[in-house]
Amino acid sequence: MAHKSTTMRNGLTRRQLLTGAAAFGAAVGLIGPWRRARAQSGKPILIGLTCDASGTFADSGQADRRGMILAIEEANAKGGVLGRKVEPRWEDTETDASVAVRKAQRLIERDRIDFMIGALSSGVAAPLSDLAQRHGIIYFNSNSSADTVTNEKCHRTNFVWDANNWMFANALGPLVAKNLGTKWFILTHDYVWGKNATAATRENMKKVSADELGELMVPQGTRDFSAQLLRIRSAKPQVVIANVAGIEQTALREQAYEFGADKDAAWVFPQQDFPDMVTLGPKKAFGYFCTTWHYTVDAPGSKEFVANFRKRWAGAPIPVPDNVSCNGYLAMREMLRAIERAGTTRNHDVIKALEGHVIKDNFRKYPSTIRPWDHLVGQMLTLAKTKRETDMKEKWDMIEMIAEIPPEVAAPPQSLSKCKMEAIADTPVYGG
Amino acid sequence: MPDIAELTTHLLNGVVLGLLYAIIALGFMLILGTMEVINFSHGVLFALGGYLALALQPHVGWWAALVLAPLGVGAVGLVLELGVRRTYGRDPLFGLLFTFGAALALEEIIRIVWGPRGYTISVPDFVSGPFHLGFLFYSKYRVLVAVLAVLLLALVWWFLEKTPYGAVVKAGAHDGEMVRALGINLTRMRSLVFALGTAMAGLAGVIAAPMWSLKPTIGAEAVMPAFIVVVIGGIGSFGGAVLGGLMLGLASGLSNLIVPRGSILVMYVLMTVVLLLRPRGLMGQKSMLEL
Repeated sequence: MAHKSTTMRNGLTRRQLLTGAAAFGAAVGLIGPWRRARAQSGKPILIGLTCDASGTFADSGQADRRGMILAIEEANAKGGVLGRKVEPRWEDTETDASVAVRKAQRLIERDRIDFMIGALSSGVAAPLSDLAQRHGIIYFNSNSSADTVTNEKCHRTNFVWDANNWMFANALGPLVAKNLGTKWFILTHDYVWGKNATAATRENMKKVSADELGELMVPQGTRDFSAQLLRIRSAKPQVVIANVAGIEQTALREQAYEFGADKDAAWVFPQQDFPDMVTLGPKKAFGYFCTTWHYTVDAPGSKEFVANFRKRWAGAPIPVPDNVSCNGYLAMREMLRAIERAGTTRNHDVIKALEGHVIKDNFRKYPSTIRPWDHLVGQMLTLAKTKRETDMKEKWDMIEMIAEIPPEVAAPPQSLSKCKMEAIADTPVYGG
Repeated sequence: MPDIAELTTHLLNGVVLGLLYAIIALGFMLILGTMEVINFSHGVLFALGGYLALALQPHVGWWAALVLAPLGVGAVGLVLELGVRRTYGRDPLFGLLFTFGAALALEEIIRIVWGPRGYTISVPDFVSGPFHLGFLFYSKYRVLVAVLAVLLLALVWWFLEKTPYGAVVKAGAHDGEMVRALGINLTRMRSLVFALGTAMAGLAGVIAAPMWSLKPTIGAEAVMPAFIVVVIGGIGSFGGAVLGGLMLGLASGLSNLIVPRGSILVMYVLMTVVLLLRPRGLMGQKSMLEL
């Protein structure tokens, strides 16, 4: 039987039509992604900055942001990331979880940010981390310290840059018990971070055989601490462990100084953000604490970083980098470097580029590691106290370093981890 | 169980806190009672007092700052009243919204001028540190706060009860039309009362700043206790404001002996109980809040 080609009314054979359609499909298939890639290459990489400018952590939130902005500006000065400009989109998260989630949602859905970074309050960081995982967007928790976000509430898209409560308590415990006494009184800020910090303190007290003489819960928003100070005085502890943060910590120290309570016992503030010390000044910022970094640390690259920061933020309330702004800077810089290493903004690839990465140029004596099993940045810690005014070289030179603790001692071992992270395949694809 | 020495110290502390709450609330009550305006900017004017003292203290000293800063806040109050006066006699919501907007604007101005960071103010040297008196151990500065608060309360009482100006203020609150018919310039009188109320907020801010530190948002945290004091004491009642302040201070201070984490909650519980038993507050009269 002779083959008879079907001819369309306009003269095209069906074979010709199918061939043409296949060619068109192939062209679309090839040109589409090319055009999208071209469009992407011209489009800036948008980074959502969730930093407080009001509420309990207003000072520290802005220090965090200053570090991030510097890292972005440095990357742009070198030609951007993957040939694309990096643009920040900042929202004031107001140290309020509901506000932070609403604004982060807006950044993700309206502004179409590619990555998200920033947190001081653990009460804010935890819901932001949940939100990020739901969307699949990579979120860097730059400065909050509750353990939960790298344990029970860990997520594949969440990376935590500050040291956590376990680390601070573990680092301070032996020193405090040995040198300051074993009769402890605890003040607990009544929210996730404070409770978590006190749990870590108690765990550590068992190790160092310290006795708990009492605990007072401090509600968020407390401004007057006179009643607490009188209670502490009656209890006669050798050490007060003050797991209190932000403006409440400032008011507490101010009033402890006013009541002379700073001389009644040795005060320990396991987690100390430098902006709160600046608010108090050297006289009232008494006590011992742990810190991750200060601008006076003599380590490779730190002098250059400090000089760049001072130049960029000469008019800022705190013109030198501190533990908060250094975390903000390093987190932002490593986010951009990970995108470069991955060669894409696609979350799955960037996560792979981050997990297990070792950061050598971290302005510290020992390198830091992004731990693949819980996404905590394992880092060294420094035990410190406030310098005497006479020893200060300038207004910001307030911290006297006492001892260094290397990362392998400071960070919790993997055996203690309660993190059960989602598989990469179960994490929604985002970006790219 | 606290011993008698501890209990006495906590009682003293509660009284001092109460007096501080009373002076924060007094200006708020004066404006609410006289003009029937819920001055939402009271808190930020309290903060402004502290910030002005922060700026003035290095140049003129603490005592002069204690006088000048409230005068500055009173001047801001005079300007604010030019807008508030358009809401007199209208739905109280208008006044509330206007002052709410003013509070936001003023907080932003504080943020622009002094930045978002916190500050502390030093107390005068002669009241720096604690004192020991037998079993009693307390802060010298807080004793000064108590003395200043009592003086201020006495001064305001004398002004309201013993001077013809006070009589005009009270009459204006009761029946503005009649006061106007008697040839008294009610507009000017209201301006002065508003300025006085805001200056008192500023004064409370200067006194509280060395204890509570300064932040642009500190005002929002001060306005709520002031509102609770007025609700407990009763709107328009001078005695009610003092009583409400003392009750709040004692409840908040003593709760730390029993349920420390409830020291803020106890304020709201106290307000709820008082409102259930006496809806007009302990010493209040019928007011616009009942409309």
